[in-house]
Amino acid sequence: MTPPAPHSTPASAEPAAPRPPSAACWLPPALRASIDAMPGGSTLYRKRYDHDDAHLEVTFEQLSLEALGRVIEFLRQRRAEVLARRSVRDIVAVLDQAAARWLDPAYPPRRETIAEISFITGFSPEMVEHAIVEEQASSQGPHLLEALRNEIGNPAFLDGFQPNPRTGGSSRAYGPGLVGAIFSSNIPALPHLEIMRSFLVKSACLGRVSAGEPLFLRRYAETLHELDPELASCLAIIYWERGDTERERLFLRSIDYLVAYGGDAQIDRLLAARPPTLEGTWHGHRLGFTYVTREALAAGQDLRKLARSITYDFAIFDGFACLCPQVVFVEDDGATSPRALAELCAEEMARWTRELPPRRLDLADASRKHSFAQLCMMNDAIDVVSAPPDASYLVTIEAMQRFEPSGGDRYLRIAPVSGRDLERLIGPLPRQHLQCAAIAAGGAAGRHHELRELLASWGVTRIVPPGIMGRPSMMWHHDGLACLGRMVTWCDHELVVPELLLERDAAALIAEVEQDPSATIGAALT
Amino acid sequence: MSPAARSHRRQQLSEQVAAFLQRDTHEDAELERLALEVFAFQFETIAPYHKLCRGLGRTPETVTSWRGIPAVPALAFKQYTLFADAPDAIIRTFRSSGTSEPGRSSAAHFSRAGLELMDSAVVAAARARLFADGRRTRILVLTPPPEQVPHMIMVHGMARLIRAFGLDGSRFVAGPGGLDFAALWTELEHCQHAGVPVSLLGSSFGFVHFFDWMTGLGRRLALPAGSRVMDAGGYKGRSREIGRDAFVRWAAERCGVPSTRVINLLGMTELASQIYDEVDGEVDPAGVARMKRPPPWMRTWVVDPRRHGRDGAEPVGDGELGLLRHLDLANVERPMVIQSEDVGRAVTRSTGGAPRHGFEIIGRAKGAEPRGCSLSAEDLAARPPRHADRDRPSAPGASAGGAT
Repeated sequence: MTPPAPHSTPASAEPAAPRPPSAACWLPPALRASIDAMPGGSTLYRKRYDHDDAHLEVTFEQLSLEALGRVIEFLRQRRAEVLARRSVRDIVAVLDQAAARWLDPAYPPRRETIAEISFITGFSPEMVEHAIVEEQASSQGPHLLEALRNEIGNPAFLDGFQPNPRTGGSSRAYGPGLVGAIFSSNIPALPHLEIMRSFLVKSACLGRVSAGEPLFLRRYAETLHELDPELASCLAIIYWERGDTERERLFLRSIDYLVAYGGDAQIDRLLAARPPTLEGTWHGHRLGFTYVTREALAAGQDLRKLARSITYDFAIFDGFACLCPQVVFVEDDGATSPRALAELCAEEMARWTRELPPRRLDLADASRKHSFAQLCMMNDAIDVVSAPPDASYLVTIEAMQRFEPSGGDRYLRIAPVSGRDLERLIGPLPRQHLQCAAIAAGGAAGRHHELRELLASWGVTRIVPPGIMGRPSMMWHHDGLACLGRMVTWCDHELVVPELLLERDAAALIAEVEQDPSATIGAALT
Repeated sequence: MSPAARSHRRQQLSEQVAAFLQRDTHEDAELERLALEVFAFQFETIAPYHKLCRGLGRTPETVTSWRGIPAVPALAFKQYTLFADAPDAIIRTFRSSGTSEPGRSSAAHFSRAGLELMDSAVVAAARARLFADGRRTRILVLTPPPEQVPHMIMVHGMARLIRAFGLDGSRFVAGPGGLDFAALWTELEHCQHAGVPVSLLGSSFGFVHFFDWMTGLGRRLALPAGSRVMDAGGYKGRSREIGRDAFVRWAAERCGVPSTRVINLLGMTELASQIYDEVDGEVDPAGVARMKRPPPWMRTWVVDPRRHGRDGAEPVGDGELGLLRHLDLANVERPMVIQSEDVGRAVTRSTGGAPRHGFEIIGRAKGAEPRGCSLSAEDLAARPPRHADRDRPSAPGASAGGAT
């Protein structure tokens, strides 16, 4: 599959000056009024994001502990009043409309949001826009329902008891009361995923925004508010400074489920700080790679298309997402050499530089990128295939002694491999760090399946063809987990003894008992 | 080039540069001619540099001015052996820090001729700037002597200054246990009373510790006329950081010397020559009108790697921030053009005559935070010991993608 061309519209990266600072935090208006009425409930302050001579200010808010307590109480109440009473389909419809708004290039906040996120993160406006379009495309209603089906079975389990033939009765699922989410900033415009996941299981959501990308969540909350203020009132976006253990402790003590994104150290710290009974899902350090077999390099294969697909995975999010590969392993006994593939990849990296421009570099970044490329050039063991003078990307070929991350930033490293190199390089890696692998095996299904088994056994949680590594579906078991499924708890109404389940038609049995609940005892004793 | 021809050429170029250093006038054209000859020699003899020049497409055939000579990132001295002759010609190796573990400290290798050339450069630069008044002083250096820290290039240079410019009693005052503040104080007081001018030389952080000690006891000196203070090397996290102007005021006040006699020296393990402050006392005795001005056998220019032209990274205009790039003719046997990670700006002054070009240092191009959450090679716990890939450059930020 060829990746889509990025959407046009590059908004200017430099926001027009001067204008009031954007806000990072968001509270539903009724809650906002209540907090504003609390003496010292909220303290606003600004953070400044500088780039060369331009800067952008963003307003953050520190809530008093009492105010944070009020936020938590409010969200719990709204969950009972709103989410608990609305159907999953109804909630999905609103999320679907929100996605439609953000997918519409004419949606008024979109242009400004792109410009601001670009300024703050350094990602090019084209990349930010591409990210928004990608993320929202997979946030549309049918995807959300399918994700629920994938992990919960029937989405209606969340609305009320539904027949469940496997249990010989009925089942009902509940999400946690309040999901607390801590976000990261490496993929622009992604964090709304956790708001959706919370709402899909009818949980209120209290999110702590990342200062590295503080704007999309608030914008998304505003979109929900425009569409359905009642639903949006089940959401609050807050912030506390890193190291503010008081607020963090209150947050961890008050939520029912934790979703956290961050580095391993950050996650370890959070896990140590949480109450031992607090459940959650955390997404820490992950890495991926691309594997090209000799079959994919055989005569007659479309190598240009392969290079185009491989390089897209390295260009998207400038290689800073865990969804991006760190290295391309290329079997060195194919009809096409790793060097020939590398040259094609270099051409395609240049094309992505034009079509999906890389991030802005400040002086320190530029210094590091240039130095690194030059250090590679000096190394006997490294073949620098392409290092353009603007350091927009780097393509090298180098044997790999042990797996090491490349650092992203559009550094495409090709490592020729043969025999059991993959086992040597990937096998020993800690399972929890492995995430995505792209396999190009030409039409060789046997090799493909053999590799797939190996990778899965080592802990890889997503296998794709090159070119869609950065575009996971809502249905992916994110980091190997049923992220929706593990959020819910079940109540199963069982009607019969287990041995009967296997003997009789469960559906008929359920129908019978539903008609006449007094039959329950009879059925159970039969 | 045969080994013998290579050694001969190295000697020959070292002599030519040494002669250039000693001249009274230094023509630009002469510097350019020598620089291009040294470049051609280094292109042939320093293998990693040869590979870099090829990679950049800038070779002796295409480079026509000193500005176009490819610069080596200072980091390369940590990862590669950059020496223009056989390893057995090396008689001294200086390192940027106490460790000898490859990849952690920069290594600068010197032959006998190279060491002599550096010594000439050290003395010539000091004669022109630090001791331009020709005054002999007692030189007291706040570091251990070279025997105790043989890898430190700064200490080696200071030993040369003692030999060339020091009165009797000049010495290194620190020992293996550090600096004995009280003993130093006694010696300085003695010089003060005896009217012996003192040159107090040391690392910037060493001065901070000593001045803190003095301040704590409410002590200050009134050193005899002709005394001076020279600090070098920055703070390296070994003391609190002090702004340049504040340091100058503090040193002048504690030692009782004019602020024009408080001089900073920029030295790098990767360079044989050093760059002193030029202080324009007439303009601003508070020391604001000071800039670093390279000696005539060096060039420092400020480049922005984001702008690139035929000669690689383009120079920025006066006053604009960029990275400092140095050309040091005295680096005959190590790469002559070094790209530092120091952020600075070019300065031109024309008080009292022809414009003079220099620069000021603003800080380091600190590695930007790895984006998102990052995974470094070190985070990958289960791994075999490093060996075969020891010489591999570590990736920029050496980090992998974060959580999604």
